[in-house]
Amino acid sequence: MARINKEKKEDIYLDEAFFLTRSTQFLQEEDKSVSETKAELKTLVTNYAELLDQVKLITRISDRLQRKLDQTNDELNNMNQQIQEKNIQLEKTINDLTEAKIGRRATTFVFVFALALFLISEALIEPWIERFYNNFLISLSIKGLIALSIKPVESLVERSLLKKERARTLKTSEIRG
Amino acid sequence: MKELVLNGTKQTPSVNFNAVSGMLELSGRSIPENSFEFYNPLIEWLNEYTTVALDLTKIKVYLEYFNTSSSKYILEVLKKLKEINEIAGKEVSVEWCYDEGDDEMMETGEDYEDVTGLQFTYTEMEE
Repeated sequence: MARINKEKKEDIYLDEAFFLTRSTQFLQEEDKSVSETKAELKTLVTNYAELLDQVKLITRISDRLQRKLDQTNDELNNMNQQIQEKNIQLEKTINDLTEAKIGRRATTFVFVFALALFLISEALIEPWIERFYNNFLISLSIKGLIALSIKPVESLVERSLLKKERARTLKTSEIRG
Repeated sequence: MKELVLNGTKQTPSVNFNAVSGMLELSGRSIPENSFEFYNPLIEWLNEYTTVALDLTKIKVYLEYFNTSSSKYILEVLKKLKEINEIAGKEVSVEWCYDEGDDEMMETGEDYEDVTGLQFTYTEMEE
């Protein structure tokens, strides 16, 4: 298979190979006259000149194409770098937006949570304290505890929602990929 | 004489050689896997055309990109046209087209002009 491919590639030099074979055979024959030798040499020189023209041209064109490819490669690399930078910026923006969205959701959750705790405290705990202890300080401490628990609960909820959101994004990108 | 029409592909240029109008066109990208297989019919067509060539033959070459082996065959095509010009005494004009800003392709045309000695005109195509 490799040999066939090689032969195919060499097809482009079919004429040149033919003249080379012809001249080689001519050299092996001994009973050639001066005029025959001159004629053969003339053919060989003509073909050599033709080949030299081709080599010069092809080399110039190849060098130029190589330069063009290099330039295109450089442009592609630059574009790639720009895309990567934009990607990082985009990722950061998406993260910021997600965090803000999650933050709002967490605040809403904590607000409802705090309200529920306050209502529970007012409706159930407060009367219970009044009934058994009747101590203002205990009542105040419980309310203070509720107020102090808001921030840590918010952080906890935010972290948990963010983790969930990231897992969901990762799953979506895996499905798309 | 039959015209030679080949549709272009991602690797081979489109060809439209018309012996009746004397208009020949070669355009697109030329990176065939086997350049001999692709260009040999063109050379054979030109060999036949040499005998029936019109007083004026125009060839329009508009190649975006070509590989090294194609460059050898493009030279062969142009040399065949030079034969029509020199041996048959018919006029041959080459319109070398290139994309806007593609100076390399224009310079390549100039190289072909130098080697073949044919009259070239250069057209920068707007993108």
